[in-house]
Amino acid sequence: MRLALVLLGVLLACPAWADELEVWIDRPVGDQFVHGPVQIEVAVSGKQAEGAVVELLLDGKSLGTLVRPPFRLQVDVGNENVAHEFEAIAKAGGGVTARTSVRTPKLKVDDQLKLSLQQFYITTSGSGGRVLDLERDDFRVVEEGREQTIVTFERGDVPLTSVLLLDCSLSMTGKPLEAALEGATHFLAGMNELDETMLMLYSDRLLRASDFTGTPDELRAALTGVEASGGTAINDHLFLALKKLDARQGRSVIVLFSDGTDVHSVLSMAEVAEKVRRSQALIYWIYLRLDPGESPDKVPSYMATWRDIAASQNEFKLLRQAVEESGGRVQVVDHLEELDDAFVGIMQELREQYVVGYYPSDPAAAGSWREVKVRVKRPGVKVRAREGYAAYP
Amino acid sequence: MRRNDSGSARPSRRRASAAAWLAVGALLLAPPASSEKRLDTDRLETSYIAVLDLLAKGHRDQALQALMATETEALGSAPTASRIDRVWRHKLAVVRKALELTTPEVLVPVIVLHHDAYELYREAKQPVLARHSRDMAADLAAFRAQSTKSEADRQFAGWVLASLGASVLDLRTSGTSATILEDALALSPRNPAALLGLAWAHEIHGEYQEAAERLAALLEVEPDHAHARLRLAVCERRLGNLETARGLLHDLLEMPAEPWIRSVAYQELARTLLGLGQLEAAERVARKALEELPGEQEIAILLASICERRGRLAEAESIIEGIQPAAAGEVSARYVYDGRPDLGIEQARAKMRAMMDERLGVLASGLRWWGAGAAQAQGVAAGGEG
Repeated sequence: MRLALVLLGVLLACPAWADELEVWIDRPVGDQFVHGPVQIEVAVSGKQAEGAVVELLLDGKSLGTLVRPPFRLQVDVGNENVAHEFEAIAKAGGGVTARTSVRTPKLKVDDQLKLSLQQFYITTSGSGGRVLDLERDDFRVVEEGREQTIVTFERGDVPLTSVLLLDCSLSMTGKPLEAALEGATHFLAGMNELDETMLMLYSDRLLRASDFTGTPDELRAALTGVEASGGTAINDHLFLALKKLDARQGRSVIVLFSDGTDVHSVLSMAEVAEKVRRSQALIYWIYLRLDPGESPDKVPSYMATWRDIAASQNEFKLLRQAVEESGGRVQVVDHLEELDDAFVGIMQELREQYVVGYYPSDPAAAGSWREVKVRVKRPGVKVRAREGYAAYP
Repeated sequence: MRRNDSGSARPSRRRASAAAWLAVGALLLAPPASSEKRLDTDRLETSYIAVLDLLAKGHRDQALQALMATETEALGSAPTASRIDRVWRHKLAVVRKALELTTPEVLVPVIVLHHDAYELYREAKQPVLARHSRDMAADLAAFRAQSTKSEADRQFAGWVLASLGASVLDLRTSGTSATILEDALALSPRNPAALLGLAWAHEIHGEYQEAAERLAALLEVEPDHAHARLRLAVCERRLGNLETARGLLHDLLEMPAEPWIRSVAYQELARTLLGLGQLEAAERVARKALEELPGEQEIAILLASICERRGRLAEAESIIEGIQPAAAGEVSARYVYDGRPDLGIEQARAKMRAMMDERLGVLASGLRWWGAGAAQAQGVAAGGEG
């Protein structure tokens, strides 16, 4: 009785606009642990609901703004056992806003064995290009020889967080750098509303870095006035990019652009490859070779005081291997005119991936490498995905 | 014993051995070949005399211009080996006459002139003419040192060759540069520039044992040479001698040294400790380095990677967040290490030119036989007005 009176008092005291705009989060439900891909569903009502937009936040970070109903968004919250806060802010004309939030808890410690959801981003292709009509049952996932049960499945355009890692070393002077910056600009033009990208321009040092942002104009601005200088430290900056992505949730991608192999890094590629194995990031390497007629598999020869020809070639091979293990690919570019297509093609590929997730039937020992094979049952369809994962120690 | 630049059967230069200077000596003492068809040898000799006359009068820049004009006319852009040989012989004939009238000191201005011409040809991207001048300077320097037997002359020759070798090092064609620097060491075994330059050339080729030997020799000459100590430690680490590397780096970090040397030393010490499986010690070193050199991105990255390996992911992330982009034009310590080391060549070149100036009088005496022909020759030498 007393509670009812309080509620009545509150309602009476509220200004008239209180029922003009209301927002609820229907999914996820509070008090239930969430991990991996999560569907957020928001409802908006009230007199001002017509034309309202909804901004979604996860743990205080904006996921983007949905401009029309249905207000639904799939987001990958990762696999850590942590609590999350989902927040929805409805905004209507005249500055009228309404907000609500849902808090999902972390699991109790004795439940943690259930948490090792592994997600794989899969690119499929057939004789006519990408194959985009596959269903969950078309996929098979085999970890260390054991068939796994797919528990999550998504197709198509899942939001992504990317790091664009651009080589601005002295060897890029002139047209190569101009072409690379133009290609990067076109990559940014392909960003969707909920995508976020960070720019990292490097030589033997980190020359320029933006924040993660979903505003391509900000990123394009960071690409102006760049001058080529210095040496090449791919390994260090790849590690840097991987670490930056560690803090991000959902699908993460690195697009590495370079015209050569590493020369000046303090980290070896073998060390960075370990990090790649612990990361879920897909790595795409646009390798500007400018050597038409050579085999795509040719390993370049370079010598420096830090690495002789053999060591340099080994670094190159390890980088290529790490890229392929990540589920990405190496795109060899022999003509500057092909650079644009290379950047745009990667963005297009990312828009056409499948995401499957499973709980390993045999929990991995910490640090051990688990070989994973993703297959498609439909004949003639080729699959590219991460080749395994290493469990964090 | 000149280098074979055009693939003929002439034996290539190996080192400034007795055979080398004997060959130069024989040419200096022998008359030039008599039958020249396409090459106007009289014009060549007269022009070359005019060049030396300009130099003797202190007009170094004009002498260089006149020399380049003369050699360009005589050799063209793609001369045959025999034509190079003929030009070389006729120039030596002029030098021989000057030498007969004076002492080996007369060679010093000629050597420095050709040394300087080499630099200018390189800048002008004329490789054939550059090699011709380089060989002339190197061979005359070796001849003078061997003929006088003076330690000072050997040191002078060592610096001339080291300077030429250093210039070739910039091209990273270490076969040639190593030969020249070895010639320098044959004449002057303690020449620090030649030792450091050779070590660098060996490092580029992954010849760490050879590099380490040169660096150890350099440290015997100059025990406080921090740069040499750093390179030696890096080579030892690559050779798998981790304890030796650790000792060298530890000692180096107790010495005063340029910041880039200290930065690489810290990095390499941490890496050496990682190689020894001492993660905690490696982390301590990286942490100390970052305190001393807070803007060093590579050290921050190294420390973050060590923290990651030790399972402290959040700490690694925090270190990475602290990395700031470099200021415009700033390069990393590892980039500096990879570049051709400062061999002290500029100071040596200044000394060489001072020695040249002191001996211009000797050169003038050596040219006195030429006498009345000077005015005519000056007119022939292109750009030789002065």
